[in-house]
Amino acid sequence: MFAIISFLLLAAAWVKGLFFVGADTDQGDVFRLLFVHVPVAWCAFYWVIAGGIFGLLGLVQKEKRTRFDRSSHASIELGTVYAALALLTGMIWGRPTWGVWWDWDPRLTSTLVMFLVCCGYLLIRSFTVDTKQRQTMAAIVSILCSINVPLVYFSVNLWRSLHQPQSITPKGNTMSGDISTTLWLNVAAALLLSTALYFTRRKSIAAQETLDLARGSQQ
Amino acid sequence: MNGANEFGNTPWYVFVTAGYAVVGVCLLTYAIFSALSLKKTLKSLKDEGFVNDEGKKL
Repeated sequence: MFAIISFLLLAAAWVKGLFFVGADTDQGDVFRLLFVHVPVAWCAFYWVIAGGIFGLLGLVQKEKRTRFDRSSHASIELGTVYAALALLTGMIWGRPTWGVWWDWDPRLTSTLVMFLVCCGYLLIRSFTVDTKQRQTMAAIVSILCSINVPLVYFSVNLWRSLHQPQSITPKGNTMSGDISTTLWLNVAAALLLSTALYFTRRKSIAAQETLDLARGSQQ
Repeated sequence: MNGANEFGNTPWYVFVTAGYAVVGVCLLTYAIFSALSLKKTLKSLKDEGFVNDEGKKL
């Protein structure tokens, strides 16, 4: 139910972004990709950081390691999906605005690195059979994944980049009022939907591990 | 409409529609597969006698 409401809210936010906001003076209507690209990128950052925090908590609190490991697994998996979507929508936006699908620019490259580290996390999980070893290794890699996030976020300030600089800073934002409001609405809807997806996936992972454990203890 | 609405021979809405479609389809697929995976696992747990109808461990 939560997921359905979040999907509907996201659909409403998309309609607002597509049809009820005026075109940008520089980019024209193609700027409407902002309302989908920025929320998925922020969801990627959010879930990858959450995965790292769960991983760290799992390493510190050994008695709750299994619970934190499942949370970390669901978070990083979601972060990987959102990072892939951020890269894809960025490429689609890059073609009309920069004239290229891809450029080895600091923001794009660091996002790709974050995505690949997240893929590595998922590979390590599937290749490591021993539960304790898997949980420890996964927790360490999840922390490595989350270390990438500030690097990706500040890459446009740290290096010369083709990507536009941050529009939203502590001093304010460079967007007009209606664009800003619609963007926040889309970010809120995307975060809500990603939370619904997280809870479904977290339950699914817990149920699968319980089933594997139960089957193993019977043999 | 201003001059920035066509990119080569490709109109703006091709890029915008593609961007929204990619995100919509991927998230919907992910949500459906997550829900189906959960349903299948819970069914297996019940069928194999590891939990009862209320979902409590036996």
